[in-house]
Amino acid sequence: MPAVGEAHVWWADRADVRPKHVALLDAGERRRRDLLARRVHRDLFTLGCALLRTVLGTVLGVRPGAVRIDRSCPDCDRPHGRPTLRHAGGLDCSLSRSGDRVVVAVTRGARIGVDVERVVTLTGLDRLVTQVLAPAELRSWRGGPDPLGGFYSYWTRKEAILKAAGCGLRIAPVKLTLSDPGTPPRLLTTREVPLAVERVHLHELRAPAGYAACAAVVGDAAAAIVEHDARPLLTAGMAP
Amino acid sequence: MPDVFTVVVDLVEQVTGIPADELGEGTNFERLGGWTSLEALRLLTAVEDTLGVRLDLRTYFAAATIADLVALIHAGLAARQRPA
Repeated sequence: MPAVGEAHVWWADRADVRPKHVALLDAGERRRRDLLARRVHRDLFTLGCALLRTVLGTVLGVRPGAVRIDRSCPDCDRPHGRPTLRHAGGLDCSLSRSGDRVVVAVTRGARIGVDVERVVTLTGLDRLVTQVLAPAELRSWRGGPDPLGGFYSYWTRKEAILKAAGCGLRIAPVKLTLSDPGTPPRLLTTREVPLAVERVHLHELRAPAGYAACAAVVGDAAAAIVEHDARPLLTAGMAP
Repeated sequence: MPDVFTVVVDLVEQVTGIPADELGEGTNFERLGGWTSLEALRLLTAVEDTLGVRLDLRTYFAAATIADLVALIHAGLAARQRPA
């Protein structure tokens, strides 16, 4: 069980997926998995569900398959919403997948959001930034040394905040203004976002090479972040 | 008048890397996988730049298939052509 004021972050790689992980998924997760056309997507989806369930099962002291997770979406009837735990204890969790990586973050007594992105060359980056950055951020981004890295830094920070706030992209990322990439990450101002900036704490994560990642905690204080490699947890006693 | 379906399929290929010849009107976005918020935003930005129709992400997430998205774009084009 993470102590109040602590957040645990678990990293997994697609190579960590095992055939037995599929058995941990509930019926809704199984349906989403079976819809995916490509094996690489099925493997990463399975890995994400298995990691979330294994971590939460360990924390709650129940079997991974017995963790009750609600994935309902506020806007439609498809089960792709933010995962919400149906267990007492004030736990909150967040899950992100990109490329070959999955990351899960868990905390207690606060809300948490996590985002990982594989850094790929983006066509039309000059245009895309206008959909993501606030005016002050745009000025700073245009003068910055690393346009692609700077964009991903802003994006993962904003996505983590919006996930922690439980609104996702229903709030346009341009409505958040953050500190410059390369400085300690901080939310400076918001427009039309129901979020007190002083309660938002951003934590840079040790992303694998070629990835960017950030965690956001919404609560009374910043969290002490503990990062783990999830492979031993996921593969203990399982044949590759 | 651009062929909206062809444009959308090309843009989905650009964003997801899935070849356009594997994509049909009935292709369900949930089948494509690896579909993140960033990819959704990239697709909508490209749709706006190419076809001049702005869709918000909420509208986009209501589209289950490529045909649904094409229908939303046609509705947007028709609204734009009506006199104000």
